Amino acid sequence: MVLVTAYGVAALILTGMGRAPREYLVIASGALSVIVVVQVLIAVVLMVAGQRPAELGTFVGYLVVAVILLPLGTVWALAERSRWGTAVLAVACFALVVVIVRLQDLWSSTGG
Amino acid sequence: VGEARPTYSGPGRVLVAVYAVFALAATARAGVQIATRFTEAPLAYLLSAFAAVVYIVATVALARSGPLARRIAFIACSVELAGVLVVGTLSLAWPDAFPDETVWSGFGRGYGLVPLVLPILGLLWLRRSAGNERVGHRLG
Repeated sequence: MVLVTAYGVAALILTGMGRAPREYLVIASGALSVIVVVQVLIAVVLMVAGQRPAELGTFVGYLVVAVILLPLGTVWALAERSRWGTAVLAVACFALVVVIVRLQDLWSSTGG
Repeated sequence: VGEARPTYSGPGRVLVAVYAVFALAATARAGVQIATRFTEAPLAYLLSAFAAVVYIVATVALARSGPLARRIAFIACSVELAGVLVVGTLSLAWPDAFPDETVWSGFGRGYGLVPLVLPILGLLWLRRSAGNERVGHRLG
């Protein structure tokens, strides 16, 4: 599974936008969420097809977290209409980057 | 100054988000550790589970308003700070006692020292957001 490093860039951009207006940020996070879901589905299909990452349980746990992180972060951010709301999005994005890096680690150390 | 503001407003919003991430991470980690290899390092994994519970309590308490939630948040942040200081010190002094890492090992260096900074920020924020009427009796 190839995971897009664009996530990291997007997270940085979002952080840089620390005080920017909001609507396109929400649209961007929605789009990112969709991309994440697609990636997760690809991973699930590959796993069903027989590829297994190291520590399957951990991997699946990270997959679940990856899917819910951005939507949850966005909901939480929307209730705060100030720059702190945008900062919440940045936090969610950075957490997502960490999750994706861990997913890639686990996937590349495939047992077989 | 003046009225107490909800702990989940303004910068507190970010604080709750970070706490939520740690609650999630600690819970998941403890769950996997205990489910897959509990006998290897029971103490470390029980500590992980305890840390996870503290993070969950802190997240929920900070995300709610009212004096009770504020008091619970204060206790959770204090326990968390004590935990990271004690476990951090012990894990450096007697590494043998901690064969596997916990969130609080080495003052949370595995997580960029965030576990050390987080409770301090939490306590400062609880104090800052408390308003006038609680300055004398912050625990109330």
